[in-house]
Amino acid sequence: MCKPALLFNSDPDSPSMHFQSGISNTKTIPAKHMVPLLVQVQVSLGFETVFLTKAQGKKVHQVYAILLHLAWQLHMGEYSDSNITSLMKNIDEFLKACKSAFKDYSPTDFAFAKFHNVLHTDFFIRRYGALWCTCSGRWEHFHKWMKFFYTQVGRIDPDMHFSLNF
Amino acid sequence: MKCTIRIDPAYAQNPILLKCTIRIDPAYAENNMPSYVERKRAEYIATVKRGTKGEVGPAKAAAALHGLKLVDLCCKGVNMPMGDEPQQWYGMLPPDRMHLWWEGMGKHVLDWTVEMIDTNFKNKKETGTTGSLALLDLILVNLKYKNRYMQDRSWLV
Repeated sequence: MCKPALLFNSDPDSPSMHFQSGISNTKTIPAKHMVPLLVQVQVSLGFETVFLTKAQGKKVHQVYAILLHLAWQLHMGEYSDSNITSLMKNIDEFLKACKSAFKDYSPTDFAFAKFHNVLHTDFFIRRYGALWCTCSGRWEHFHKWMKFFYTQVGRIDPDMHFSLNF
Repeated sequence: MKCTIRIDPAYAQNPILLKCTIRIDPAYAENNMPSYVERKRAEYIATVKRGTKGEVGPAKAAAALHGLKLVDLCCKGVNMPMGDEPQQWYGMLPPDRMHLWWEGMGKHVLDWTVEMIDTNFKNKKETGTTGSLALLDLILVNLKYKNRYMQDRSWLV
């Protein structure tokens, strides 16, 4: 059920658990499933002391809440100065919350590039504009969505795709 | 709003071919309407937001022709002192990989949570927790089955 799997990965912080529910495939989980999965994990953890102690639970829930909020804040279509200030405040809180909640669980003690890079988000927005407009992820997502709808509609009526509006 | 409407007499009797010219008072336009550059900026943002990949490149080139700095785009009232200089990442995360940051951090958080639950279960006498990873897996499988992912509409077919 839970064996270390990614033996050849050089990053000691890489996810390494295996589950049947899909959480174990965290290296390959589709991007569109990330938000639903994070919500589901947060619901599963609950507020009782089944999986986590009371002190741990409060901190872990805070991490999930901020991360889900960042999912929206990082992909806004347009930013104002107050949006950027709010985003950077949340990023700062997220990193602190991670360090507080998982301080014994990061093999590198959070000394990996991905954990640091996000502190430069305001630089990138001020330099290049909204992240979602320059993010290559949107093209991958849109392409997958188009393929998904095409296949779903095509099964019912091959001509129905003409009525889809995006 | 002050404007003059002039109906072309050649088409006045034919409602289908009715042709008119609307001339907006320049003084009114200057004070009450967005500037030409601002309108081009809005058009560019609309193209970037909704356009296809093939439309964004030409729209960027057109925006540059209209005197728009690309750094000003998609940011309202943001001071951008760096100017339109060539990209230099200095080993940092480029903005076009932001999705990798967010999704990657989500995976790290999931992994740390799983490690924490596993450690708690192994030391359950001290922590007082009873939930194992197998139980978490079972709950997730059931949630996934009951609710399905938001994008999963296969049950409609």
